[in-house]
Amino acid sequence: MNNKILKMIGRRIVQSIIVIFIVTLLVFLLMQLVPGDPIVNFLGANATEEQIEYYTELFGYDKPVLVQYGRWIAGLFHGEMGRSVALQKEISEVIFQRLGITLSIVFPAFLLAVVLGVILGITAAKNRGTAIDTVISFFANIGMSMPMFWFGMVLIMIFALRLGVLPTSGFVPIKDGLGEYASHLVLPMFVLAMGPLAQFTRQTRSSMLEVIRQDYVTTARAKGVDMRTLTFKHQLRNALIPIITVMGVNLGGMIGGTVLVESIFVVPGLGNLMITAIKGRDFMVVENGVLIIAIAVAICNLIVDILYGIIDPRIRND
Amino acid sequence: MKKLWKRIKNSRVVKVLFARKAVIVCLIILAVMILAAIFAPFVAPYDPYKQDLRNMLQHISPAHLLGTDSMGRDLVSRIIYGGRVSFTVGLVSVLVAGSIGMVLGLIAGMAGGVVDAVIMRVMDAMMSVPMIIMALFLGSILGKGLGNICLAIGISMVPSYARVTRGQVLTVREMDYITAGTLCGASKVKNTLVHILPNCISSNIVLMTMNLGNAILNEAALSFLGMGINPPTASWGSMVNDGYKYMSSNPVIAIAPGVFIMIVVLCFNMVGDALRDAMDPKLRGTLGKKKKVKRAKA
Repeated sequence: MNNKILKMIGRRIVQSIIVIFIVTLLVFLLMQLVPGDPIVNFLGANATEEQIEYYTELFGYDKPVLVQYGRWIAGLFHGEMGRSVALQKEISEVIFQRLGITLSIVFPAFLLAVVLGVILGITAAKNRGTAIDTVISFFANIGMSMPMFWFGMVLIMIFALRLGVLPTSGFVPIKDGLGEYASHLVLPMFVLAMGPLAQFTRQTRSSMLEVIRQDYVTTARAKGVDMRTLTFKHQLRNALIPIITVMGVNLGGMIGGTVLVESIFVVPGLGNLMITAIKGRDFMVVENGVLIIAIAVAICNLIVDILYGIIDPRIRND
Repeated sequence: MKKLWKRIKNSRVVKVLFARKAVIVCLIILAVMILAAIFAPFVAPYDPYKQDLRNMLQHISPAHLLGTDSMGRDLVSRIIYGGRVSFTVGLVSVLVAGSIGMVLGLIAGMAGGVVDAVIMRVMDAMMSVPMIIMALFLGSILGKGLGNICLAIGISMVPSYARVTRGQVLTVREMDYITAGTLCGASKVKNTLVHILPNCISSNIVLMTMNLGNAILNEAALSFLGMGINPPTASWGSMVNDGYKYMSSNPVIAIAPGVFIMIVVLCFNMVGDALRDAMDPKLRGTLGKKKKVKRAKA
C-alpha cells in the first residue's frame, strides 16, 4: 500500500459521503410525495382529531419539511434515527438487529455465488465449445432469467413439502445452534445466490476467454508453467477486474434482493421491515432503511475500488 | 422501401445476429407469445376474469389445459392475458428509462461543469439504492396500476442509461467531425442532436434489449409483493402469489406462470446478448462466420 492508493481511498470515501448525503435528501423529499399519513395509518379509522393532532406533534410531523430533515440528520450524528410510529420504538434499536439477520443470509449466499461462479466460469472457459460449456452456459442463462420468488417457492415445494428435509420458512439466529441456523439458511441462501451465481459464471467465462487468447498465456505455456499456476496466476488474475466489478454491483443488489427472499421465507430481516414500513407508510423506517442500504452499497463499491488497486498494479500507480 | 429492406438484410449486425440458431428460436418464441398476448381475446379459450366457483382449483384436464385457480378462472387464459402486462411493462419501462436516461446523459455530457456534476451525483445516489427497492419506493409514490408500474420501473433503471450515454458523449464530443460541424457554424444544440445523439443510440438500444428481461422480472416481483398490478388483472407475478397458498394441493397454479416469466426473460436475454455481441466492434470478424481451421492431427 503506497501513498497513492491511500489518497485514492480517501477521495473515494469523500465521494461516497456526498452520494450518501444526496440519497438522504432525495429519499426524504420523495417521501413527502407518498400519499398517506403514518399517524393516521397507525391510529386507524376510529382515531379522533385530537389523537391525530397529539401524535403528529409528538413525532414532529407537524414541522416544516426542512426542519424535519434537519432533525433527522442531526439525530443521525447522535446515533438516533428517530422513532418508528408503527413499532413505537427507537428505529436504531430495530434496524441494526434486522440488518444483522439480513447480512447473515447475504454473506453466505455471496460466498457461495463467488466460489461456485468462478469455478464454473473457469471450467466453462477451459472447455469452450464442448458439452460441459454448453451445459454450464445454459444453466447460467436460466439462472439469470428465473424470478427469485418463484425459484424460492419451487425449492420450498420440493425440499420442505415433498421431501420434508428442510424447514419451509423462518430464521434461527446462529447462537441458537449451528444446525438449526444452517438448516434454515440453506434454501434462502440458494435462492439469493442463484442470480449472482449465474452472472459470476458468465462474467468469469467471458473474461477468461478473452485472456486465454493473449500472447502472455501462450508464452507462459511455452515456458512450461504448470496448469494450476497458469490458470490462477496468469489467466484468472488478469481476468479478475471485470469479475470484481460484477461482484461489487451484485453484492449491493443482493442486499436489495433480500426483500423478496425474506418475504418468501418469512425472515424477520431488513427487507421485510422495509416492505412493512412502505406498506404502513412508516416514513422514518423507510428513510433509515434506504440510508443503511445506501451505506452498504457505498462500502461495497469502496472495497471493489481497493481490490482493483490490489489486483492491478497499473491502476495502483495511476 | 425495397432498398431499405435490402440494406437491413445485408447489414452485418443482422447477419451476425441471425447466424445464431438460438436467437432465431428465441425470436420465434417471443413472436408467438407477443401475438398471443395481442390477440388474447381470440386465442384464450375462456374469459380470464370469469369466476366459476364450482370448478375451482381444477387439475390439468382437456377442458382446462393447466387447470383453474382458486376462483375457478382458467389458467391458460389468464397466462395469455398476463403476457399483455409483462410485455407492456417490459417495453414501456425500458423506453421510459432509455429516453429519460439519454436526455440526462446528453445534457450532462454536453453541458459539463456543475450541471454534469449535479446530474451524475444524483444518478450515483439512485444507483446506490438497489433497483427493486427503488422501484418499490417509486411504486408507493405513484400508486398501483399498469402505467404507474411502468413509470416506477422505468425511472429506477434511468441511471445506467444516463451513464452509458454520458460516456459515449464524452468520446464522440472530441471527434473530428464534431469540430468540423462547429467550424461549419453548427450550434451546440444542432451538433448534439444531429451528430452526437445518433452515435449514442446504438449502445442504448443494446442496453434496452438487455434490460427488457430485468424489467419484466421487476414487474413480476412487485406484483408478487402485492405492490404492482391491481387484482383481478392477470399478471404473471401476482398469479404466482395467488397460487402460493395452494402449493401443496395444486402446484401448477403457481409454477406455470413462473415458467412463462422464465421463458420470456430467457429469450429477451439471449437476444440482448446476441445483439450486444453483434454490435461490439471488438468482436468484429469473429462471429457469425464458421471458420474452418485446419489442424494437424496428432
